Amino acid sequence: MFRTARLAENGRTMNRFFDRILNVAVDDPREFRRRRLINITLLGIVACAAIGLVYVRLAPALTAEDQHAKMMLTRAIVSLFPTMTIIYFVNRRSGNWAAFLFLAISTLFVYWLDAPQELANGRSTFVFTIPIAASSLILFPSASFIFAAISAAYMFWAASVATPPVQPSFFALIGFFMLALITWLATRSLEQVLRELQTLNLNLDHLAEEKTQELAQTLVRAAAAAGRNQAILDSIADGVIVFDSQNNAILANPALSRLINIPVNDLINHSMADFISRIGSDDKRTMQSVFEEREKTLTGIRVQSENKTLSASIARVTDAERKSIGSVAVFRDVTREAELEKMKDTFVGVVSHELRTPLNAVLGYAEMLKEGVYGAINEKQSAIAERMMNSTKRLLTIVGELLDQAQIQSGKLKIIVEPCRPVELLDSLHGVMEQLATKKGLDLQTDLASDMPQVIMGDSHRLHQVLINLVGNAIKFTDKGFVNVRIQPEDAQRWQIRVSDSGGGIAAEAQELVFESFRQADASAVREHGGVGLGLSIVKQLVELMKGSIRLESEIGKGSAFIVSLPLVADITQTQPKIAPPQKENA
Amino acid sequence: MTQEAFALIVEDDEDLAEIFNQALTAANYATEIVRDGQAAQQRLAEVVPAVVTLDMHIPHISGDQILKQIRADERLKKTRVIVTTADELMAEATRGVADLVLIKPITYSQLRDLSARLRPRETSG
Repeated sequence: MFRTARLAENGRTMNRFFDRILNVAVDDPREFRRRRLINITLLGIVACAAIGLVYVRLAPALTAEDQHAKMMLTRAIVSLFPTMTIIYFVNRRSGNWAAFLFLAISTLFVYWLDAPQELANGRSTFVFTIPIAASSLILFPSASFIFAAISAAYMFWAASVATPPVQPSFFALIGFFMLALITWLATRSLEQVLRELQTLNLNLDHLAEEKTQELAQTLVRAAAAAGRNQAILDSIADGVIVFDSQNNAILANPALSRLINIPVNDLINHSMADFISRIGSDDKRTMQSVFEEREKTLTGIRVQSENKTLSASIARVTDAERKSIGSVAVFRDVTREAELEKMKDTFVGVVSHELRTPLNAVLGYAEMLKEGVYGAINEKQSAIAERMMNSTKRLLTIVGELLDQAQIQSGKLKIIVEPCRPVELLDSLHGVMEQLATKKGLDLQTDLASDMPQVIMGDSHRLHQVLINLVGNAIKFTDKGFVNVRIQPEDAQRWQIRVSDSGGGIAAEAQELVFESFRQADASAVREHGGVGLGLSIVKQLVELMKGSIRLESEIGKGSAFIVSLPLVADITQTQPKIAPPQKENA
Repeated sequence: MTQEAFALIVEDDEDLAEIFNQALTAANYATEIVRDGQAAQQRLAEVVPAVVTLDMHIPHISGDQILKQIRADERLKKTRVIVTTADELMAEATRGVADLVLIKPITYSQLRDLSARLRPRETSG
């Protein structure tokens, strides 16, 4: 192994040595090839000459003629060394001159080499082939014909000056032109192939250049885009943080740093848990679970960080194959909005409370007038008192709804879960709403499924409110027929309240809107039926507070059905009465 | 009822106090109105009402406080307490402690009918 490696190393050193001798540093590959060819030829001749010199010196010379010939040959061979060296150096400057010089000298050398009769028709006719073949290679392809002609003329001349004169070798003459033809064809096709290769190379070069330019442009664009993205990110007023799939922060902007008072460098490369613990949220567990929610995009999560209220939106980042590659969170400072909301809620709460008391007084006085507490009144006066009472009741309902809405939104409304009986819910509903239904000529039907548990866990007061609102709404929008309330099990875990009516129904496009605050499906309905459009919104919010859901099934002309779905076993731990649990009531 | 029962109305709003007064009078009670917690406390130290209507949001001493004092007072163990409040949370919290909880708005006829049905507490033992 070691030996082979050494041999290979030696071989490489030899190659490097020859390359240094043979190559001439020029840019044109054809010129480079030609000059290298000349150098190889020169080297070959020098090598042959060296061998020839050794052979000539060692050959025995018995006669004087032999001695003379030996001396002549030695001179001729020795003269080759400086000649070849000169051509070699000429070749370094100009390939053309070197080629001409080489061809001229080799032609002259032929003349000098042997006796004329031997050149014209004897042992030395073959040497003419050297300049013929070489000219094609080192000058230009058709140069071989010129040297074939020169060689032929030379042969004729040699034949004429020979003593005695001889006939030039006919086969040699034919052979010269045949050789010229073959070398011409070979060199030409070689040159053609080289030209094609060159074109191909040139095209490749162009292609490579184009691609390189394209790549450079793309890189420049990418750098610009990255810079632009960074600039955009830096100038956004919202705080942005990006986590990779290992939940490590990989990107954060200065706005976030300002919002939570932590330098950007202290955020990047830190874990999500670290981030959550540092933003000082009151509800770290919620934050964590929100971040770990793999599927969803969550918006409007309130985060209390020090003295700021932030609204966070968190989304999973997925690649083209919908594989999660991380998450991005955007934080917005909503401190001012939160304060305003709180003020609004307090305001609404106070105003509602302050409105209720005088309204209660108006209601009481009107009722007392009607009841004759302050003396007898006539029938017309009694009717007016009743109208006052009804108007006041309506106002009280609206105020109550506003108060409920304010309480729900400020999170003050609590669900109090205790054992409650569905049958009692329906009874009390009937008690409150029957009069209203009968007045409109409607049939209020209540219906309790036989397989419904007798006692369930729930907030009876809020359930009552849900029923009153739904039935009140149904009565309001039904002109004739019935309003049906059915309580029934939904499945093993849930039960439902179904309030259906024979009213006009609600258009599909309006169905999504009915649960929105201050909205009624048909604007004209506000004028016709009154109310501020809070009832169903409150119902929805109450149902959701009770961990339930509400949906609407309706079609124009076919009535409506509101279906409330609630858990059978409520989560008691989350809702606690504010003050100590009630003592056992006296019978 | 051999003798006219006494009802104490604890209510800071003049109009509501008047309505409650009329309702309880109509239900055959002799009535008296006090306007704040302190006055209520003083009066309760002197008389033993059959019924107290108690507003939760009153000046000086809260209705909640008064309710606790009534329940702690052996002398007032027969007294029936009707809590009147607009605060639903408060209403829920006092539901087991008070004899009756009425959430405002409270109508004249409602209080009249309900108070008429209230009987003094039976003394146990």
